[in-house]
Amino acid sequence: MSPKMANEPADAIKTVDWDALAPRLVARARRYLHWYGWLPTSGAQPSQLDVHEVLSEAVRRVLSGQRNWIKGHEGDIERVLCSTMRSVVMDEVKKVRRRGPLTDEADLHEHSGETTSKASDDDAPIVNLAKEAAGDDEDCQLYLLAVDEGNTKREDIAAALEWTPEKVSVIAKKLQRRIARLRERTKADQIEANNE
Amino acid sequence: MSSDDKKSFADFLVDALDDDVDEAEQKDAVRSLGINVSQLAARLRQQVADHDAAERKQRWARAARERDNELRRLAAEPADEQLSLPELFQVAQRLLEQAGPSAGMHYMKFETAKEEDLRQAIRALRHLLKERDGKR
Repeated sequence: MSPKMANEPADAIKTVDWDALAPRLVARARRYLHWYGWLPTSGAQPSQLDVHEVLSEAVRRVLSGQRNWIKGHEGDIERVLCSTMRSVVMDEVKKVRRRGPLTDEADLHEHSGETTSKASDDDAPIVNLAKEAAGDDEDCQLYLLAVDEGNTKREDIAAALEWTPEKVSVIAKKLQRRIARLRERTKADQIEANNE
Repeated sequence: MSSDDKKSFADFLVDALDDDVDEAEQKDAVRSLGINVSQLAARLRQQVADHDAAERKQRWARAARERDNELRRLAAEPADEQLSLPELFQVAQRLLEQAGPSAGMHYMKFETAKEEDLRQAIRALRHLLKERDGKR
């Protein structure tokens, strides 16, 4: 495939089968909201910025021609949309943090063991969440160590730990599930606290 | 420096954990967030359609502006069609003087040119002068 395609993401998005893609995008948007930001809100949404807003803003950015194909994945519009949603969430979290700390957010950090210090990206919620999710589980801890060394592809993590790629996937899923549970628990506590 | 050198542990973690979503995760996300997939898909289709319509409207407006400018430009040009042959010679002479000796080389025998050739030469000279003015 040529590096510069005639059909750019802004054109490709016009032929997307939204019925098929929407559930996958919703799940991804929820992941990013869980991992990057956990902001006070009401109702079932995981953040101040809800999944609809993340998705809609990502579509807007792609349509406006701001996004290019992901290198090595030209023609994959789902990948472009996911990467854009990730940027949308990161931008929103940065914006909220610039406005100053939020009391409820600090409470939530306290509950989940997160630090409220924003000194570096390593204070990002996902880091503390992953550590908490790993707990005493040795495989999860090894997984995090391999990632900390810069291994992000399944095969690279497998090679670093002398595991099979399948085992890497199992551990990653385990961490994902535990992180989601931690987030949902925090959310439930927040709703309960709001109701009291 | 590769882009990976600038990445934090948090970035690495998201890259590593962000694998394909399986069906169970899709169903759980949609159910727990109370999202109606058909309605969401319809809204996204509408967003794309609205953007498309706005883009088309902008394109038409731009084309209309360009057409109006062209019509104004044509209207501003002297109506050579109404000039007599002696008047055409005068116009050609004046344009040649403006165009300078290098352009004159191409129209050395314009005094003996036929009326239609003369009109064509005037159009070409005007075009040349306009282009030259545009570059200044």
